[in-house]
Amino acid sequence: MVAKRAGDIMIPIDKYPHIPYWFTLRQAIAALEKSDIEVEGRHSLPRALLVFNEQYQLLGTVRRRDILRGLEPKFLRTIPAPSRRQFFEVSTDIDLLEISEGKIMKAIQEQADQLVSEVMQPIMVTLDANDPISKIVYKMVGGDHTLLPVLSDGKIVGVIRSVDIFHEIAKILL
Amino acid sequence: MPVTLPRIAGAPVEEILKGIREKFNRFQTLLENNSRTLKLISDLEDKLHGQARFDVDYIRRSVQELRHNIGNIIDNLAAIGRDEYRRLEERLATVCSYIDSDFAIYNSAVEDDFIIPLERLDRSRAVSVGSKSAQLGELKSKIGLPVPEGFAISGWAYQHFIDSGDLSERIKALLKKVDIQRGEDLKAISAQIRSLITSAQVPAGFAGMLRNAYSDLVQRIGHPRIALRSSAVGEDTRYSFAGQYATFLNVPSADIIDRYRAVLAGKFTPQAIYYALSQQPVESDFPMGVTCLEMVDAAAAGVVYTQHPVDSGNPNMVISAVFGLGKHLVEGRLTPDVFLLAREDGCILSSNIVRKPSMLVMHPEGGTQEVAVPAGNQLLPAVSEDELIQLYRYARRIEAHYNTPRDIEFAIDRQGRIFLLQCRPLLVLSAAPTASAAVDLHSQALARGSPVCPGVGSGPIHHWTPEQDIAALPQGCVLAIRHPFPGIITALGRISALVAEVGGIASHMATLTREYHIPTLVGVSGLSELRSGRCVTVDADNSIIYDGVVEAILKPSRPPQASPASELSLTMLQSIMPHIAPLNLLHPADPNFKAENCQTLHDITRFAHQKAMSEMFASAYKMGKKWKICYRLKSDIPLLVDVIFLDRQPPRRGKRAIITETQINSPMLTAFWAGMREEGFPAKLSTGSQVVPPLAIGHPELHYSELEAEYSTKCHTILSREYMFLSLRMGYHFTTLEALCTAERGKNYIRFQYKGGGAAIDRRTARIKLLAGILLDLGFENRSQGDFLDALYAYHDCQESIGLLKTLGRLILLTKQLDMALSGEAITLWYQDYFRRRLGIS
Repeated sequence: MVAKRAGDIMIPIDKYPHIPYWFTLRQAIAALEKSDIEVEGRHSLPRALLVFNEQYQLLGTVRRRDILRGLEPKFLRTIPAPSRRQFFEVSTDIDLLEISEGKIMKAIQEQADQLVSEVMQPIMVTLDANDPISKIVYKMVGGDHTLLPVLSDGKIVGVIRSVDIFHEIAKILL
Repeated sequence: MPVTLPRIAGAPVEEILKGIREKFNRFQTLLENNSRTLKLISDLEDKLHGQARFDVDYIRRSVQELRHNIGNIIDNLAAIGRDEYRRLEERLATVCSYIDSDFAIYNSAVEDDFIIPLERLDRSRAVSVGSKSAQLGELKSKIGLPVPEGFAISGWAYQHFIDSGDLSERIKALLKKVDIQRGEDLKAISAQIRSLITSAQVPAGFAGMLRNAYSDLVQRIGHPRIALRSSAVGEDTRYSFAGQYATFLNVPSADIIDRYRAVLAGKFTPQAIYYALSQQPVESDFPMGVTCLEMVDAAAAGVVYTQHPVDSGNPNMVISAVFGLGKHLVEGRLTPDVFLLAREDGCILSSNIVRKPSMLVMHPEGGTQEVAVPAGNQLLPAVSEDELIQLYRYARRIEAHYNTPRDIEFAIDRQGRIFLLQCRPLLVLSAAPTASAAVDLHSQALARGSPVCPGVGSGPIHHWTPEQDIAALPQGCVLAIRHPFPGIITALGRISALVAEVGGIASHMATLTREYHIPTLVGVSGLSELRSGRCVTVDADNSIIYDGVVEAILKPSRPPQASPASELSLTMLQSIMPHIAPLNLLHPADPNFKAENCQTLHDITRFAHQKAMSEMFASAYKMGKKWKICYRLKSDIPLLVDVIFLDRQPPRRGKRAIITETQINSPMLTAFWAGMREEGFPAKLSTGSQVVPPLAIGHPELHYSELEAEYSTKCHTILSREYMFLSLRMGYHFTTLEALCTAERGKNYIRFQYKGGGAAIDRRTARIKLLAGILLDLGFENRSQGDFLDALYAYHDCQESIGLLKTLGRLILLTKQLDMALSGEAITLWYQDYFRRRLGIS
């Protein structure tokens, strides 16, 4: 069996949901909720979207947790976002109990008009279409990524999700 | 002191400015002609799909005006640009010649042989032999279905007969005198014309050919039983003329010439004259072809409707059949057995077997006779299950071949062989069932029947017999008859509904009532007990006759006097529209966007309009920086927009040619800009935090290679006080927006075209579908093809149009690069809903 490489495992770029950077979080949520990714007969919802600019260049990704963080009402934010681990961190702030649910919901509605560009994560690591499985696993685990773009001749041609590489490993082991 | 004017490319400035002004004037004339042309095309399309009445004359006038306008556009384009645009004149002439030849069909006989065997015919020869013969030829030679032996006598032969007897002028003179609303008048004129024809000499040479063809046919089939049937040129394909002309069955050799003349004379029975004149072609001098056909010694006969003619939501096939020859069935004198077959597999869904007390058979000495069906057989089905299945198979093949619903007559001989006798298009009316819940519960249902034409009509009952004069018929009455008779057609223009005791959905009368849109029920028992003058409401949608006038279900849209929708005008329009309306040249960047590819009047107009725009800007840019005739718009929206004014001086020399939105003073552009501003133009992104620089896409499908692939934001606009043309490049897609907003509602329009995108074709197409849906909600008419959309909004007042331009401005930004995100149906649906909510469309 010829060993698979990133180019064989990836989801082609045109099969993966994209979004321009000036779309709102609401639109991003719609894209995440209403898209369907099919790989070898398995269907799943995407966990992240690719964010592009007007010239169709990839700028970054936006994951569910990025969106949730973006939705947090501003008045609840006390700790700078990147250094926080939990959504809302409710337990740390006793005053929250006094804030009405209605007020929070209204604030979330407003926050949903925020632009994707404000919460997206820049691309830090990429794969090459020729990368072998070991290298893919290494990059994914090392940087704690769930999705990595695959390049060929310096241009993006697809993406690999952690679940895709997991399936490949499973095929080898089971 | 003489001033030396600067020279540009050798010409002094004044000359150049004069040249520019001249171009501007030409351009304005071109725009006016362009908008008139688009209006005319759009009107014609409205007529084709709408309810409005129009006549043949309207079509001719419109085509004439189109031709004139487009000629004018080409003229002006050549003056603005180069003489090579005159090549468009050839295209215009070619397209117009197609239209002319379509018109010609309605006018005169086509030169051809006098006598042509059926097997040498196909439907393209309808022009020469009439539809009946031509369709039989088509069934025989093109589909290979069983059709009796026979030959056609052409329209050219008719012309020869009429010319040699010098009849044409005399007939015309008589027809001019007729008032079709006066029954007596109609009858008298009809009798005079018919006697003129039946007493005229058939030219000897032709008579000899006819006799020879007859005896050849007799020899070939081995018996002398032959039918002569009318095959009017224009019949069926143009308008049905269902049952209006003569048919002679079982014609003996000695009578052939007489019967031929009699079929020709049948063109002028009172009801045929009425039908022809009421359908508008006053120059109704269409030639009369005749079909000579071997008689099938029929054990049973009937009609197949490949779809149900009343309810288009019900795609089942309907087969009606009686014992013996089919004449009494199509005349509506006998109620036939009716079978409903499932469309997909021919499974018999229902059989309605009725008592068939009599049948028509061939008389041994010529002609036909009515005989009683033996008592024990009267309730047997007229056709067997096997025969039904065979008929179903034939009908499916025919429908697939023509790709439209068909009305097919058949006969089954005593050996059980099926023969097809006629095949014509079937008019399918969709029933819009009235909510019967709306009927007041107190309204009493008097009787029920089977609907043959949907609709609702009310009025006083009037019982009518063939002997009564049409003049005695009260306007707007509900006509009650025992069974259909030929003269019924003369009443159709005056009544609000028709009810009959006998008859079926497949009779000629049923076809006519559908053409005239008269709500009709047949098979209504107990009709004779309803006295004349009693007011009733016939609800043919729900098969009920109510006592009194039930306002709740009467449809207001129906004109007070039921007038015939002119089938001729409609079919005439249908036949020429393919040369007028379709748009084949979509986008200027398309390699096929060339003069020689213009196939329709719309193409030519579109091409010329586009070229005129680019010629104007080309000459603007040619002037060089110093002699700019366009301004640059200064705005907070980051698009580079060049502006040319049609009604203002170009920027003065040495001045900076920058103009602000307020200075532009165009409510249309301002509205559009306000719409864009409301949604907010995407702000530029700072790339400071980017570790890896933006990555270009490497997938070949995502390259926008069909058109100009480069990303651009260059736009231009041509403005005047009442006019705006705007060409927008916002990334990878092209938008053009043209609007005319004047005080005259009838002149106003907005035309919006959208093409392209940066994503793969399926996502671009999804965006176009989404846009088309929204625009439809906003009142636009759309046509789209792939990732191209062309939408038109016309005849609205200025304020509405300006409001809409703002919405379009919003939509432009909402859909900017949206194609990228439309990866599937679910997300597309979400956007559809999202936009509707956002734009406040309910």
